[in-house]
Amino acid sequence: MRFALKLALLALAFALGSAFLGWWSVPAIGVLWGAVAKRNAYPGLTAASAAGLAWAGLLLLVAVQGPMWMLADKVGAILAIPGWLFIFITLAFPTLLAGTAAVVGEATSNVMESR
Amino acid sequence: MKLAAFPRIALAGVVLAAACYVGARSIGPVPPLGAFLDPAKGVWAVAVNAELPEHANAGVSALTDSVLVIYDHRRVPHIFAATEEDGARGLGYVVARDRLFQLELQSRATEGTLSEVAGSEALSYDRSQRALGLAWSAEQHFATLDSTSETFRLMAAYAEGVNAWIDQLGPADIPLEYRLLGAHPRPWRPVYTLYLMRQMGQMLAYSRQEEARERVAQAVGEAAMRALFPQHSAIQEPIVPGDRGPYPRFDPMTIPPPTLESSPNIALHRPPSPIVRLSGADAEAPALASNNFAVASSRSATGNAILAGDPHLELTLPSIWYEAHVVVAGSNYDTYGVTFAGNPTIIIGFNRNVAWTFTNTGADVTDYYEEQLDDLERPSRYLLDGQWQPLVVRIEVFHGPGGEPLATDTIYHTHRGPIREWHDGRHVSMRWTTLDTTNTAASVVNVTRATTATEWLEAMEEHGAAPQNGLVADRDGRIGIVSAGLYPVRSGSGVGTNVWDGTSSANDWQGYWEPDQRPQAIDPAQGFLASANQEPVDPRASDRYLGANWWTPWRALRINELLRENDAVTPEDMQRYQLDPGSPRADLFVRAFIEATDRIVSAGRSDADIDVATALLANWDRRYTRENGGAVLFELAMNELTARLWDEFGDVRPRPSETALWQLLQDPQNIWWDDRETTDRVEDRDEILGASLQAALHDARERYGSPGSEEWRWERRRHANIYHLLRLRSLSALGISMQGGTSTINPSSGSGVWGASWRMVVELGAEISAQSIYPGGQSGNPLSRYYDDRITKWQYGELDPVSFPRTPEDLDHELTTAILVLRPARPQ
Repeated sequence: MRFALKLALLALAFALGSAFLGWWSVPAIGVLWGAVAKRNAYPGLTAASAAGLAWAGLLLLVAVQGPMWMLADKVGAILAIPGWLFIFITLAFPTLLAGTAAVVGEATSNVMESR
Repeated sequence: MKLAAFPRIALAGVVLAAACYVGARSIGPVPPLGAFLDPAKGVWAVAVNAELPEHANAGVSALTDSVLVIYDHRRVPHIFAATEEDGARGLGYVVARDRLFQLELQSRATEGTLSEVAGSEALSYDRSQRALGLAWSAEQHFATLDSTSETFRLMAAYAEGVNAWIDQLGPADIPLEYRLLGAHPRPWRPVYTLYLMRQMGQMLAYSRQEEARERVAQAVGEAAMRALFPQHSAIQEPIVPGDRGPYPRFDPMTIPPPTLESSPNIALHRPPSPIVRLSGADAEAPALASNNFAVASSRSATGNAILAGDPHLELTLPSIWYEAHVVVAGSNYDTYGVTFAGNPTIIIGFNRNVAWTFTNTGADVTDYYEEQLDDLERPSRYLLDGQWQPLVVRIEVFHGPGGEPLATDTIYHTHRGPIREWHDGRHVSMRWTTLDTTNTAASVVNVTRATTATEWLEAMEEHGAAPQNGLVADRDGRIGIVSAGLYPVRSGSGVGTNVWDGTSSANDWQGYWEPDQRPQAIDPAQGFLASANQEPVDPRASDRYLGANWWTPWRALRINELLRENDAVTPEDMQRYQLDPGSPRADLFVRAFIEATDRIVSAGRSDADIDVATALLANWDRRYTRENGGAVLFELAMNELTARLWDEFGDVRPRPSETALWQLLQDPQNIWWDDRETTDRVEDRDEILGASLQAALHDARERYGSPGSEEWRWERRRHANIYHLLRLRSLSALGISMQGGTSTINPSSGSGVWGASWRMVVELGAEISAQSIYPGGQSGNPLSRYYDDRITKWQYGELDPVSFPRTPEDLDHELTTAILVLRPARPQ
């Protein structure tokens, strides 16, 4: 239960950060999460999941407001990939950023602590 | 930290760094992924903003009063403003809101700065544009404008409207194309309107016929070239009704034989199989095939004048046109129609009293002068009347997307215009009306206020470049037409088909024709007027040089035929005529094929294929309807025929027009008919016609199967292809089957990228009744339902009734889709 709550709050942070600050807030929040949540199991995995969920939620909002699938198909065609793959890449990008940033954040925090 | 964790951390660090890099930097054609993929402000926001909000408010500095914009069910904005300048601000705002990327792309294309957004791939195009000097001349023209003039004020007001939209753009509002290119909108300058007019001049009135004529003369001899590319059309159906008819009138002349010894390098081989041309060989040739026609009250079923227009231009998504209605309270400025993105007024349309439309005149408004330079490598002077004159030097620097310099060109100008190197190494300067300071912008404004056909024609006197056949009808039932534009007064014979000697100022243009000298007619006795890019005036009435090598007037023949046989024309008739599948060209050439094969049969030289092909042609109704199975064979036979007939040309282009081909049909033994591949005999007309038909049948069977199969249907062979401005296929509408073929009123070119860019029929009764369509939609957002919503109707020749309210209250609220209120705002 606590994990689910943490995940949801972290996803909310990623979503708000992306919406108001831009994509670079994803690695920034990931690093912070890694630093403060190092005692949790798998902080990288948690951050990756939360960031993916956050952007999936934002995409859901897009789908509610406009022709998201049509956009995926059209932009995918421009990039010579299927529309679903474009959506996958969109979700994979923050997942990768947040997960790796959390790992780096955790390691940095550990180094600082050991000194 | 445990040492064992190091590889995992190092890997994470590397991946993070790589992800951040691709997030922040573009790699090749891929834009920076971070901003691009961002669901809130990245490319996905394009879907969120696909449609306009139902209600919106915005501030525009310099507005004198609020502007109300009501979008109707076709997404046409009806702009209600207090002044004409506020109307222009409103128009600029709504056009930018719908077509921002198109605005910028067009101005950059004219300016030659596409490389700054598209990279070095566009460099070659940019260099050729800057060599022409379109933007350079526009800037010079703009600098001479009186800032208090109406033209200047409207251009400035339009720019204020465009920039008001750009200034309030949020990251989520950036159009898709900018995101793909990793670019950002630049501010709109008033001078870009003049860029746009020069761009139209380039599309409609740029000619290098002198160079082409020299190439042809080298290939086939001077005399043959002059006959094949004559000053006057041998088939006359003039725009200005004449009394030297009856029309159409056919004036064949003998074509002199080619003098092939002058062309040792011309290959003695037939061009590759012409079969490919059915789908795409004429892809590069512009197919400007516009029509306009009008009937006066005397020939209208209701007693009201009716006007129809369909300018044919390159088809693009978004369309070249934007439909709008501007009403200025308390004035007679109440104009509906289409405008180019970037122009502050309506170009083609109607007001409460008159309707108007244009076709391209095709007049010769470009001349070339062979210049003598003091130094071919580093020239600084040119010789004129025995004196060395200084060259004007223009340095053009080209930049890439990051501002990095890509190239630097030096362009030299004489007093006539820019110098370029000719095909044989000579240096020629170009005089071109499009580069002159003209008052076209003023005429575009003034015609919108005309209250009668006569006033409209007077307003067109200011029109400069490119020359246009302007057709007008008014509510008094009157009609008129003028081939308006600047026509040079040349020295000597006045003919401008050859390169002039640049060392003498006596060869310079002496001025321009007076307005009353331009081809024009008002209220002709015949009760109708029509233009379709044909020679404007019958040379028997006036042989003053206007141009040469006019298009074969097939469309004009058909339009005039339809109008002559109907003395009670309705708007529905006009609409039907715009897609009429009949073809005088097919009528004429099919008869020639059949008569030739009849003679071959009579001489006992026939074979089974010729019999089959002849029967197929004879049974064809000569109509280019979608389901028709006869046009395929005929078009292939025409391709075969021209390839065989003009074999003397080898790879030299252009080929003669079909008027020349028709003239040779009257001369069966002319040596032009000889097939140069057969050295042991001399073929005549009938042999070439028969062999062409036979080869066409063979090719058609090979490609499309047996006659009558589905593959022979016209809709399988010819299509309209409407490409997105960046040629992105997923944002384009391709393979649209059409009714119409080569040289029908709704012509279908091989590539399908040219076509009717706008169709309009207006009846001028007590109230204006108008219908229109264009192939595309009002929105430039490919995700919007208004991006391409009109294409299906356009494809089938349907027209939408247009709303033309005098006040906001007159507009049916059921049909209102969005409202925008622009309010005066303090300048930032």
